Amino acid sequence: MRCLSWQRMDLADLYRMANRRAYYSVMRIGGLVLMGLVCLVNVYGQSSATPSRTQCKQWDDSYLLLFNFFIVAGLLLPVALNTLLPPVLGRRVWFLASPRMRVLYISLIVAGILATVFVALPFVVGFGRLIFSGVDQAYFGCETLKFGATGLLFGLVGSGIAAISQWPAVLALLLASCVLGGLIAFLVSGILVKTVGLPSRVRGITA
Amino acid sequence: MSYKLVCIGGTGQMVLHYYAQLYLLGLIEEPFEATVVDTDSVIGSIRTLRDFFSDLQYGADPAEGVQNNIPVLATPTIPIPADDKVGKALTGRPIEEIDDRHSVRAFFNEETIAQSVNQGLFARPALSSVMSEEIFNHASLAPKNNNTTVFVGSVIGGTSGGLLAPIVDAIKEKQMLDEIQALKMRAVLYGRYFTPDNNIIPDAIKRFNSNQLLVLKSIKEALQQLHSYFIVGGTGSMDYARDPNVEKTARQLPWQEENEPFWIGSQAAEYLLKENVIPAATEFSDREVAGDFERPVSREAATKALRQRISFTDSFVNKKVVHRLAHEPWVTAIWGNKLTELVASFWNIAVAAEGGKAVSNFPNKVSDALTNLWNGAGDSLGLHDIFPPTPLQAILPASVQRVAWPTVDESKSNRILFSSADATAKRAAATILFTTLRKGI
Repeated sequence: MRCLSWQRMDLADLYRMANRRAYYSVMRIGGLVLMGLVCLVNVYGQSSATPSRTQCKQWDDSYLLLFNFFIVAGLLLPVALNTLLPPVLGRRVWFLASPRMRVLYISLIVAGILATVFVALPFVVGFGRLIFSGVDQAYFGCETLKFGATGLLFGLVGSGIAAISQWPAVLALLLASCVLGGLIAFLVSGILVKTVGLPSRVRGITA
Repeated sequence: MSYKLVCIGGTGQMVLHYYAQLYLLGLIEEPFEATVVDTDSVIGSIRTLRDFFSDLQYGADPAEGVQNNIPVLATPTIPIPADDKVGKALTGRPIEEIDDRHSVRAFFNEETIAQSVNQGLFARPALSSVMSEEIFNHASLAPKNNNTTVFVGSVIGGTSGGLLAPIVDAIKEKQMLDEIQALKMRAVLYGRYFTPDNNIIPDAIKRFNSNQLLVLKSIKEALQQLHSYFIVGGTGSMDYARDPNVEKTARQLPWQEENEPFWIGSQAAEYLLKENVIPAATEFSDREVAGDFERPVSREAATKALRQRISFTDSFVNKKVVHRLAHEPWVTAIWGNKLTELVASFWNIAVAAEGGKAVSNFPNKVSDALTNLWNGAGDSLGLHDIFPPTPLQAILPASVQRVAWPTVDESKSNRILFSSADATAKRAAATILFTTLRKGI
């Protein structure tokens, strides 16, 4: 009986180990496929002719303009969504009825969406369409050229380097804008609570 | 019209345990007063209910809640030395010092005198009436005008068998002395309805049958005041399994089926409390209510209400709605105006109790008090433990707004009860729980 139990335990361990290996294998294959896809899009997307400095400057400025919009969106969307969604959907969704947690959740969701759209989307589906219609697919070829790039945040970050090459900084700045937006939303919520929330109805509690 | 239950002994307590649940779930409309009389300890769920109802008091009268009247549950203590033998309790001296000529030996045999009194009276009715004389004068048993009182107890046990007739008689006497008008007295009496454990009480069945005969006969002769009565069980007609240890705490006891004794008893109690049609019969035997009386609460409706109200209250407490409400800028849109006003009013009372200090953590105190009252703290049962385990259903935040929350008139609050922010938070939490259970959607 004892021997059988041990055997069963060994089998269970082996089964778990096999499952774990299979999981990591799938993850590894998935990563490789994604990387391959990115490379394929880059290679496929690049036009055979090297873009001129003027073209690169024009596309970089278009991309930077979009980036600035996304930064502003990162600041404003958490505030706007935290202000507009709860009165509409707070009665139906518990997380939207939680004044503190929803600031965190909404900011994280906004950050995720902005980062995916602005950073990951061009690498996956390429430039030249939708919001990136002002940027040509050949913009990837500008990464190695010196064309007097403005840099992120009007030259405060990475002046002279093409914006597309600075995607880690772009990601960090987008996340930072969302965090800042979340903090603003939190402050706005706090002010509103004191002026129109429960404490405003209690005598002896100053607004 | 007011309603009172006098629950005697363990059986009376168990009926009250179920009756109070039906009331808390909003299935019984009118509030009631209840007095528990038992020489043994009060069961856990009744203690929790007593404290909870006490926390609901808002005005000067114990029955005055925030907006409506509330139940009042009294558990007068019968002074019995918990670890003593019957002989010592009766004579004041150790049993080995009671000599053969002591008058106690004329009434009680050797076995009874040597019996310990900390586990009930072991089906000896005579012992109960001798040891519990002080109970008859307790304020909670005083009769009132326009009142229906229903006595609930078994005629087979020691406590109820011995105390039922003297209590009814004492109330009748007070009624005449105080010229109380329109007092109706009724009873739910339990005959033999369970198989006793012969290890606890030797020759239990023989003793139960003997008690049943004696008590019913004495009731017939002495209690002409009873307008009507209902009998549950009887010799051999019902065989329910009781577990005294489980009943001691009564934690999450499952609900009984419609044909089981305590469920029938709680229905009969409600029927007799509210019934106004049956004419007074001259013959005692004609006053017995037949078993096919219309059940005031259907089992199906009760089960549905149980699931709904427990789910609502559980979500309300465990999702910390009061805490959310306190930090919500869109408080009226999400939680509604009435609940916000309710919490704000209690907060105002807390500010006044603390001499004008802001008590900025008041909503947290209410939220914590809600958790303690609902889930229990330490060894004491929470209100949640009084109800049986039930599968929960999903509740939306919108349901909170649809509840008919009471309106607080701050000028009517009893300042003695609201002496601090903590006391106010606890009473606010009790009022909120009372409303979620009775009116939760």
